[in-house]
Amino acid sequence: ISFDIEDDVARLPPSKQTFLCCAEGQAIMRKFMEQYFIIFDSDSRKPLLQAYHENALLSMTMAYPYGQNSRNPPFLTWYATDNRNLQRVTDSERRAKMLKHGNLQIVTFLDEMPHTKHDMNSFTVDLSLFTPQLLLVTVTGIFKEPAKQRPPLRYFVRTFVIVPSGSGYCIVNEEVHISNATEAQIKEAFKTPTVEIVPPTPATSPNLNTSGGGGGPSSSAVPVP
Amino acid sequence: MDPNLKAKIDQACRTAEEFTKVYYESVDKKRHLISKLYLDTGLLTWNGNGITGCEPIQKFYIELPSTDHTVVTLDAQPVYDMAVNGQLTFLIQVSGHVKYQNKSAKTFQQSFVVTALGDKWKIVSDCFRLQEPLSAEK
Repeated sequence: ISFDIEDDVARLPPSKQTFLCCAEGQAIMRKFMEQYFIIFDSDSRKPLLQAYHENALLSMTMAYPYGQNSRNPPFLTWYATDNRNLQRVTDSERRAKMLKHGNLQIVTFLDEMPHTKHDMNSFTVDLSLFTPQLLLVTVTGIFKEPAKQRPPLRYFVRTFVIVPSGSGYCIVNEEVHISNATEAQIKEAFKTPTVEIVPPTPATSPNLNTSGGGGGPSSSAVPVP
Repeated sequence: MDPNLKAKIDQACRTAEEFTKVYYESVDKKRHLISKLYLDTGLLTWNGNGITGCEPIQKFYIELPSTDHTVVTLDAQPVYDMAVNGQLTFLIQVSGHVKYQNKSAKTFQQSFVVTALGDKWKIVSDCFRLQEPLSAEK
């Protein structure tokens, strides 16, 4: 015989793929995600220059998921160099230096990142703030690095602070976290074939224009309800 | 680099270190105090479930199985002034692992927006995700 309270299993609330603090933000979000990740997965990430504010900040951290480590593949070596983990980077000069500052420095860095193909069906999207001044969005998901011989599957978490700019929007803050996909994530990744989307024309892609654009992708690649 | 920005980056990093210490200690060991860390209008997004306001957030945490968090990575930046009307605000991102009721550890990532309210730091937004495939979560 045991005590009732000790038998209580760890019951967690069920997860949801998307949270929208405000329904109004949905269309902007969807368009932003589509345009951003289509460019990100293309041969050149340079068009993202227009997606970042001239004073934008970006930083990256990386860690192996629980149960994996740097002694076994797939290795996260590329991401280790710019890992701004404040637990390890304690010098204040280095903390400032490892922060990418300005759209030029940011896009140069992003363009050097390994070539990617994102699994849009794996994405979770949380829109936490939506005010006339800013949007706060956290996106997670799976991507692979198709250029490698045995393309590794990675997991990312990216938090964006986005502000209105001209007729569109631009990113002023971003924090990127890169990890490997777990065994369970690998099993589910790239299961649903994504619709091939024609890349947007340069005229509409650069500033993630959300108003009256046209020419953008017609089908939704990101499962925002 | 502009010394003003440099000072803010410094402060963001130091605040993030102190904040995460207080936050995870509260979640793991002093749950009844957790809502004090949030703005009255604060938002917790837990694996896609949105909970707004101190009282509902407090209730959510009380009902959540007991936790033991280990922080592995920490990152922080000052949020662009114009986006927050010059109010001192930081973006913080954490990764690590968490055990629920001493079950096996799961990897998590969490991002916060923290702002200065008088002489206290308060959470505007707290977004938590376990690193799991969506279908397994359903």
